[in-house]
Amino acid sequence: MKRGVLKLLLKAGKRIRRSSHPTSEPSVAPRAQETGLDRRFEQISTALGASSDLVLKEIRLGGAAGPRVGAAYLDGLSDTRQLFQSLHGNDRPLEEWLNASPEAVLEELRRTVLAVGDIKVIDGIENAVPAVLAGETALFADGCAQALTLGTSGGEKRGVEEPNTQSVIRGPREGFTELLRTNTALVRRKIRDARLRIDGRQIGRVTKTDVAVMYLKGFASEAVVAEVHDRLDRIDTDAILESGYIEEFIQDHAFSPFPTIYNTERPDTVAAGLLEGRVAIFVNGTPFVLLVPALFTQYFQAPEDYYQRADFSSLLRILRLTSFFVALLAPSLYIAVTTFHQELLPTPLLIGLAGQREGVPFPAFIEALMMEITFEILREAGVRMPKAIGQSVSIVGTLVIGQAAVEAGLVSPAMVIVVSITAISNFVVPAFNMAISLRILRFLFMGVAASFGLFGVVVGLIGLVLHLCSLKSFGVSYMAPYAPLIRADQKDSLLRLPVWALRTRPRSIPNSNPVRQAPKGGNPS
Amino acid sequence: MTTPASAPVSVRQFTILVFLYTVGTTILVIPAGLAAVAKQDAWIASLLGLLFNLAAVFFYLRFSRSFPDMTLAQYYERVYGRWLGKLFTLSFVFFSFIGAATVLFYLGNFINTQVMPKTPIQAISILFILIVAMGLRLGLEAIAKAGEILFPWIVLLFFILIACLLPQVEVHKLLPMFEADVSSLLKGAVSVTGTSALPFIVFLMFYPAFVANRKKAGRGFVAGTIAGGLFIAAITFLSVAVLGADISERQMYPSFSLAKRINIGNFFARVEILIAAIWFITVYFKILFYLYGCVAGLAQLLGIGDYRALVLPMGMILVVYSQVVYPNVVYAAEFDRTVWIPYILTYGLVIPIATWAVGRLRHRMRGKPTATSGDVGE
Amino acid sequence: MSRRLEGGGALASAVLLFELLLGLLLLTGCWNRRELNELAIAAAMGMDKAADGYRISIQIINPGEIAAKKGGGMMSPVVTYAASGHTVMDALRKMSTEMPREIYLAHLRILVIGESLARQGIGKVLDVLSRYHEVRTDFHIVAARDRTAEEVLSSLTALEKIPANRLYTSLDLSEKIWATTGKTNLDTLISAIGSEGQGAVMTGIEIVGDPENGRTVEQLKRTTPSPLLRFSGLGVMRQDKLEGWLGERESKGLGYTRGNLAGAPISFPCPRGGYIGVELIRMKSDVRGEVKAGKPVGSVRIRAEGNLSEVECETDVLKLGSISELEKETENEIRTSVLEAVRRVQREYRSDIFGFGEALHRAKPAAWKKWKRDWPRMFAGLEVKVNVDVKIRRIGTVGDPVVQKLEE
Repeated sequence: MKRGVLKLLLKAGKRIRRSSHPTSEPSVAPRAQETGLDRRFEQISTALGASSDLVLKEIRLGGAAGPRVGAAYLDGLSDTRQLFQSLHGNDRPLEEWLNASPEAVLEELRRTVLAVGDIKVIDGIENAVPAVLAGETALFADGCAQALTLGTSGGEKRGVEEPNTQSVIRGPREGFTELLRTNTALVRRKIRDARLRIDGRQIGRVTKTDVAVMYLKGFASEAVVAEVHDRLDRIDTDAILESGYIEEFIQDHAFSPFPTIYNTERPDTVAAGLLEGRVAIFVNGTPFVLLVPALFTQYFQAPEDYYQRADFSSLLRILRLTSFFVALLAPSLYIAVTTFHQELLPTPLLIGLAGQREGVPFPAFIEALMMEITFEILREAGVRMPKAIGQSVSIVGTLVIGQAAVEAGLVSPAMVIVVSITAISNFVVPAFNMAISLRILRFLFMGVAASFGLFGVVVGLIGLVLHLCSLKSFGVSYMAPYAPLIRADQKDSLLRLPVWALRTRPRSIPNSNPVRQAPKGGNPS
Repeated sequence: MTTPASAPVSVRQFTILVFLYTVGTTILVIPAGLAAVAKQDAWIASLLGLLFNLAAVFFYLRFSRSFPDMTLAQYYERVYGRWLGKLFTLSFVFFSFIGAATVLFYLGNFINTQVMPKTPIQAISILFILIVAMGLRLGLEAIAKAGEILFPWIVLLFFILIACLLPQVEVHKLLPMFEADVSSLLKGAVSVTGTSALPFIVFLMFYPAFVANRKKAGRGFVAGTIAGGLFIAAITFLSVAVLGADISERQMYPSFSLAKRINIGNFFARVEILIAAIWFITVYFKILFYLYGCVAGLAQLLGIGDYRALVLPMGMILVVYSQVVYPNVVYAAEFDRTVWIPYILTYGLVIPIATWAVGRLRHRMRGKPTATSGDVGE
Repeated sequence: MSRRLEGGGALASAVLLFELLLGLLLLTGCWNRRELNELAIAAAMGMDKAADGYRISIQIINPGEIAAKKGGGMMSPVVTYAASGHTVMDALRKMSTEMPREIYLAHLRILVIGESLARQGIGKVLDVLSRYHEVRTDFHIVAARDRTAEEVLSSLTALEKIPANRLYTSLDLSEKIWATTGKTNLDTLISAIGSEGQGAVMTGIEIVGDPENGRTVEQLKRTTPSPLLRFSGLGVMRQDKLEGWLGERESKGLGYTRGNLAGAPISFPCPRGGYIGVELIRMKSDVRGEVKAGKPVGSVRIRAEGNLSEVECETDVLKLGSISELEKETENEIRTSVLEAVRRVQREYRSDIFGFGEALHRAKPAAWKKWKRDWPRMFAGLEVKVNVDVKIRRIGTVGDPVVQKLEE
């Protein structure tokens, strides 16, 4: 019985398949009709669902009686002015065109007539569609089986501007744009070396986003490059809209507040990274380029550190680390000291703080939590609001938090100071994604401080250190060069020694070319 | 990969771990005990203790050479055979467990006495054990790295402590020197060794096997012991020279009272809780390695490949046990004075020496050590 | 390269941690958390004998009044509470029945002990203080001379809003520039009580004027406030009992042996009326115990440096000889005041507050062991040598004294 049912089902399946065949078969049938220009246009139009931005243009070569060629492209994606100028402006006599076979016409166009770089010969309509989607122009000659795709990608794009996220006082002002090719070019301009490698690929079944892996061969560790490719290969998804998608797919630790992949908008940062043996991942459509492996210490280094004087940069790095701790711990230390360890305060300070707190209705923890959350709300509002309104929001915010709340006796002035210092310190951390992790962890620390005082804070710090030490970025210890301690790398981690002293590449990042420059001998000093 | 060492713990990291483990609990508890037996000569006793520590460490180095690729528990099974070996491992597991429980009790007791008397000790223990369990689950590599990160901070705090207290050192509090007789100095020294060096036995659960570069690691073992011993000696010295022998003796936690004395121009004062951070961190490593010895031994005993599954359950049992290990502080002090020394001598010295002797004997009888037993590393 | 291995564990532990924290936050209300405005910060504590134990008085700071930038002055910046009980803790707890807040002792600046309690012995009350974790050891301990501590505490004084703080700083200051007081804190007192060869002293504090007037805020508004609290002399302790008081000169003498006297003025009469003043700026002293001919001998060596501070008579200051003469005079003055102090203590109090016994212990441990038991008696008959060496370096901003010109 069962088997019978199964057979029936199978038969039904076969029937269905068979019935679907006839509809598709005629499209393959007569060859002459297939290669006709009208037919081509029809095919491409059907493939794109008669999209309104599809432009199909017919041109007769050498005058009104000449052979027909047709161009198909997507309006706005392609920059076709040169193409049509060179087609119309060709001064070959009509007879020559008429005498040539369609294949010869196409060949002639490709070789001499078209003033467009990157021309490919393709077979069949199924190869033309993706090219058109990528902004290229498909060029058909009437009656010819082959077609040309022309690299006319262009259209509206943002110019190279100063990056918003990592601004510098001294240093290059250019930042990446949304266009992959522009971005890779920006880096290539900085490193004119044949060993700079760019491996391209497409990721995303629907978006078919161009992704490029860039590294310096002989500098970057082969293992890391292979690992990057391997992890990119494993991505199987519909859409990659921003490098953040890639980052989440390939990062080592999904559940960590700390970023293990560095991102930047600056070509000089990427170039420096490549020269240190890192691997960059470019994603089309975003100015943010990923850099791996990423180290904890990297998030406290600004690109400008290498353009300013060494002593100044070193002090700045120390300042940043200090602000990291302030941003992480200030509210929790305030809570711990004022609610558990009042004996730690000098007497006059204790009396001052206690006086301020007279009449404040909430426990210090709730007070801090309220203020921190209010601040987070204001900050988020400031980011999402139109710029003009953002200004007024911040004014309202300062007034509300800073004065009205204090005068209403809802919070103590000291708490306002603590929260403001925390917020400002948070902005000192140069990398935004590291700053976010601080914002999350701050609340955790406030929690342990409110229940266990400084003991809780110390325990929290031990936990934090353990977590950081367990992190890896592409097989590299996240806390390197501090743990494991790499002595040679201390020259450019917390401190930055003068450039001539940075003789070797950081050993924390696996690389296959350890020496960067000749010893200082040649330098005047 | 191009990483220099595939072993989870590098020599430098191992040295630091040895240091942290030596210092944990010892710095808070030992100065009082030393001042009680040796008065103003307490610091001499602690230096003598350092010598004893070194002797113990040299023995452990020697001993561990018999099992370069094994843990202590595995070696017990090799030397004594499967069943007797398992018995030894079981006793070792109990020893480490009780060690962890006593240290956890000390931690809770310290916080309850000095910092937060109304916070239930259970909550403190649970919080601490959670973080210990987190470390153990992340594995030796992360633990070793964390030690490397925390170490400079401890050293920094230590130097702050020293620098702030040096002006308060009163040399006459150390006089007359050498008043204590030899037997009380020895007694003090043995108590130092009992709390700081003999617990190293749990390190043998990972020492030669998981540490890179065995030869240098041995030197690291010694260096860490010396550094830790000097650290303890310095704290003891300061206790006596700043507080005086009688106050050091009276205090439950002299090094904490010591930190209370810090007062630089009335603004850098009252910072003892920062100094207590030294203690929290070192105690963390002490409990962590005791519990490591316990769960690693237990995993070996039960034939579980990975100890991680045992960490949380054992941690929870530990929390409960630490509440009952000592009924009160007086009992704890009595236990430390009378029972602990013979107890730790048994596990830290007598059994290892016996094992070493038996191992050598069997080695000589059978010729090749690899031929002793096939039933080891399953 | 193992990736995502720890991921699950990390998530689990993060969730666990979060839940735990949440639970803790709900639980911790009754633990050790105390908000600043729930604390009654005690600045001063007084201890007196009561019929059935102790009478404890505590001066609580009213932070709202002190920290207020404007609108202050309506309420007193400090409030004094007092209660009696069988034990110190008992009294403290009783006090909390009339106080809305929890007494917080970590910021205690000064502990005043009533004379009668001090004479009876303070060992028992000190035990409470050193056992209680909140109490630190950095506050000064003084004895209320002829008064109860409660009276002292309720005598407000001007200049600072917190009287206890005022006492604390003025004790610090007067030790530096006047030198008849000595800082005594919990640790020094306890170790002196426990030691055979080192007695303790306590600074005395007395009330000048009517203590009743001190209770009101109005006092703060007058330029010459009454009553005043004043430090006066040192109280000598034998073990934990106050034995008696040293006069000003003897207190100075004790101060010299302790070498903590920089800045103390020394003056002595000129041959033809008027005084010459020397201000000591540096002082080092060394108390020693030795054994000579089978008997203990104490010696004090003092080296000091000073400047000429005032000249009321017509000496030719600029002559070399006159300076060395001045030095001699100063040495004499110091020596006699030390000797006077020693004599008085040996005769009346028999408590080795100079520390000859400890010095002997350090120098000759074996001999000390023999005499330890009997030290108070030995001390009474101890031979003490005083060796003073004074150098006068500078004579101030002018040369010859103004008086000399007048005579001409």
